[in-house]
Amino acid sequence: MKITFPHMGPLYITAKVILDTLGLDYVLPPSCGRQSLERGSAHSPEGMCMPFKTILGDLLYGLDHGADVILFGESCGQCRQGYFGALHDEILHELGYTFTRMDLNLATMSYEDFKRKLAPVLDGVGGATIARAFVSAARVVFAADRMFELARGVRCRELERGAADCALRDGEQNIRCAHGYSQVMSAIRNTEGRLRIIPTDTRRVPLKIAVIGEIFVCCESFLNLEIERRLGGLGAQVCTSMSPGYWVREHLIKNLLPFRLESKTRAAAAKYVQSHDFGGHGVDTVGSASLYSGEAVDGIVHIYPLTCMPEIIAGSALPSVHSDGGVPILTLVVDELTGEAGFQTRLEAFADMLEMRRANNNINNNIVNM
Amino acid sequence: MNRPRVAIPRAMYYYEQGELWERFFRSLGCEVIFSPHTSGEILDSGTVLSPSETCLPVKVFMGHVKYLDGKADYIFIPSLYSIEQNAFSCPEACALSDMAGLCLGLTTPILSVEVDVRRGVFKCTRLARTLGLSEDFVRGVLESTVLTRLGAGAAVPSAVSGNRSKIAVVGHPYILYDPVISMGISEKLERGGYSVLTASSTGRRERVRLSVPFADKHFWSEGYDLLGASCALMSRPDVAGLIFLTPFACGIDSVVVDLVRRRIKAYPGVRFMALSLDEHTGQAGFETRIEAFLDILNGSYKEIV
Repeated sequence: MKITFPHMGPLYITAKVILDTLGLDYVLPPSCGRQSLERGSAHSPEGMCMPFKTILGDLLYGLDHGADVILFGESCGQCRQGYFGALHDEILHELGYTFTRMDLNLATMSYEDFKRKLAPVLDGVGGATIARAFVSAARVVFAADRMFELARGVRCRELERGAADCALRDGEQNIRCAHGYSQVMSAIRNTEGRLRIIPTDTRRVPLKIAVIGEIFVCCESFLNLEIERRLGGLGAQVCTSMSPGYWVREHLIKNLLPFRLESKTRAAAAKYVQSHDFGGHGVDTVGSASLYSGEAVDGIVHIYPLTCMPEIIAGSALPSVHSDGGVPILTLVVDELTGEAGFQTRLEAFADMLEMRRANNNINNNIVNM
Repeated sequence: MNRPRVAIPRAMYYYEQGELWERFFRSLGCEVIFSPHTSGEILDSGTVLSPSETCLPVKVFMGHVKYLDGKADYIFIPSLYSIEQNAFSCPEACALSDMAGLCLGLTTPILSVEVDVRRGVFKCTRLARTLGLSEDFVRGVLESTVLTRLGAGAAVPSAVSGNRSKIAVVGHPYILYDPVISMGISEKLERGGYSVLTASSTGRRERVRLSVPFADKHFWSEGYDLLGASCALMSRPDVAGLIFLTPFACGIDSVVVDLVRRRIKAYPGVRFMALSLDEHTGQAGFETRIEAFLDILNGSYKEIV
């Protein structure tokens, strides 16, 4: 049996480590790109959000290259994501593919659930190996998060434009070729080492811009038109809570704990929305915007795919968050027809405005201090 | 002592639950008023005030809420997470009260209850406190007037006359029964010589059973109604066509319409058309499409083999 799974940004690194540790055979689709989007869009309902389409494109690649098992994580809830699997199945069966689907329900998954759902492929794999796979995966997902966080700090200060992204590109290529926890961690550490020696302008104080919104688009650089690279190129340091580590922490780890952990983000959202859940990470978007405003970022970018219901609702709260915190918020809605030029123009205008605003605030502060 | 006046917007959940909530508030000793039927002014006001990407029915709802501002002591907007077992409601249904509070700049306070049948959660603490009533009493009234009847579907039956061929019209009740955003589709089809069947011609259990592959799982209540009704109606021998009215950017319909399109292939004699609506939809374009559809049903076009 050969497994395939779709991309969501760097989450493939963690999936890879789990499957390598379990000794399972898999097809890793190429990074999300024009091909996966075009192929997926050709067979998807037009009104579905972009993640549905790229996921389908990835699954088609995997099935075309010998996979016969689809591994997918779904969370049930008001957002459509919980029904991607059923609709993907209908489309794939209509196209003539046969496969087994293994859906892990991330909102309710337990160790027993994992073993039961993956039983057909876990034949002969012992409990200790499964436990080791999970521990390795947890370490890797947070290590990968740290690597990308380091890149964000380097990118906006690098003296040679593109050096950080070059290091990341090579690093991800090495990660793809690596096998198992040790090799993947080694590739991550090497990439971090390479990032640390990139010459930077240490006197530079970059703008701090938070990126919030729908998690798939936040994590997947192809779908967000490489927003972190663009903002870094404009001299801004990006901060984001929407990462694979966040996803694993919120959906997997917290659900496995025997006690409930209060969420700072949800507590911050409660000032603006009474609803505790309107699907996806909508409530988290409102809470993140509020928290980042309190941390005095220079600006916030809210990004999501066209027709994303939870983010549309969250967006209605952002004017109030801005009104309270004073931090400018730019909303960007992306779909398969989004043009790069218009996207870049908006980011440039936003960064220019934030620089001017910061300069004005500095002048005013100096006047006050005189 | 003056009874508190509670206003209920005549939009969204009103078409399926308006009577229930009216009974609820009258049992609590409140006076109840409704906004008028949707008009061009209400639609325009809602469109201007709502986030641009919300679907048309939510924009209309916001217009109704804005209309009611200043005309009552409270405006009632429930948070509907789930109105039946094994089903969710649309995300907008949970968050309407939040969105209204955030977008409309209201002077009249919003009154709300939280209904989550799936989790067995019914929160009316704040409402009870605001109205000066005991929470136990309010909860009891909620159960007897509303909770036992939720999920029954729209109270408006479709009038089906005689032996005429039928066209099934499927869509959210807050579109089909709204005088403005329904674009008068039922009247247009009746004038074209067809009787109109809607989801209310089908039974609730039948709709869930036919909502394959979600019959034994969780799905949206609206999803069961739309998908199940479509599957029930398309299989009737007297149904010549099925029209699906869907608001642009509706997340639920993006799943359901595609599934209906797939299911209807098993009934080649039943013609299918999906009509997408937003605030820019014009009468002329809408009528052209209806006329073309009726022409196809009437055999005005030869099959191209």
